[in-house]
Amino acid sequence: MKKGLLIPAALLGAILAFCLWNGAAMSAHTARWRAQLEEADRLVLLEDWQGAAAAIRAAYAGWTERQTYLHCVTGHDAVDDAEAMYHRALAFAEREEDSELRAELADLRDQLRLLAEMEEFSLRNVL
Amino acid sequence: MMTAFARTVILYFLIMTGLRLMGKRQIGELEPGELVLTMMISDLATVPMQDFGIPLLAGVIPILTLLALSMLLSQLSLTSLRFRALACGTPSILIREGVLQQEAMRKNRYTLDELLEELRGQGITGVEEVKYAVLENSGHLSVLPWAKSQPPTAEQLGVKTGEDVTLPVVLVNDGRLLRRNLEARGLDEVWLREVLRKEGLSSHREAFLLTVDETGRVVCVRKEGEP
Repeated sequence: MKKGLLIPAALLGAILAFCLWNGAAMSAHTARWRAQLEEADRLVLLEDWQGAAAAIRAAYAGWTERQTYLHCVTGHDAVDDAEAMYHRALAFAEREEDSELRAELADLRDQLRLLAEMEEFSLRNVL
Repeated sequence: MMTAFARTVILYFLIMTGLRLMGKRQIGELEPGELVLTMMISDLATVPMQDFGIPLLAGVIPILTLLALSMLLSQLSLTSLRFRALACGTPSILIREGVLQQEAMRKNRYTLDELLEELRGQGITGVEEVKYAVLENSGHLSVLPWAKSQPPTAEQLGVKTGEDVTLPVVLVNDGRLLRRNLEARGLDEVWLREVLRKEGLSSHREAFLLTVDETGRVVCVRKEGEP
């Protein structure tokens, strides 16, 4: 391939690779956080409030670690909404409010799923 | 505010680099595709500049993609004539030997009013005065009058002209010596010092502009306020 074609083709390839990696990374991260939240939900059902709060804190710690990355690649509003949901879920867990906490955890899992879907390479997103 | 500042600086340099890579053509000479590209890039850049809720990458990635695609298509146009014709189109002859090419005008959706306006703009009042009128890919209409209607050249008139056009090279720009230009002209600082001495200058820092052409003709402009 000629040198003139190589540079733009390499740039396009790099952008495509980054976009695909970003979609995969976002899916992997959100899947991990959702699994932690599901575990918290299960512990709430068993009325293990301390365990549930610990699981939410662990999920939140992982989420906080990726804040810069998340703000770089996705809409800030969606990230800020999820952040607020984490705070509310932690507050409900500390107050041992069963139904509110479970509803909040369900919303948070949905929000995380939406974050991953936004970066997914799919016909629905393209169109 | 710092976010706006930092984002503006990043996007400005990104766009300047991109436009520099696109080539030297000016806005007025852009082909329609290039004009659209320029407008899209400028529009994409303004969104993350103003809306801090959107990540900077959401503006940078489309801009880089557009620039890479544009560079790729330009390179393909250079290597393949067929691709160039497909991507850029081909020039169309709208007037051939003083006759309007109505089919070509229809194909290009070029109205008679537009054609006459263009001709008038070039000082031509009738279609019959034109041998060829070519609608270029850029949208510009090139009008070639009959030879009898064109002004004669010095060569046709047999007039002897003086020295041909020469290209002066800048050796001193606002007091700064451009050594590369000096060497490219096959000259050295000894020659320069002699020239400056003749001009009554003790150093190149006192010159605002100093040029030399192929014939060795020197033009020197002294800096204002220098003794």
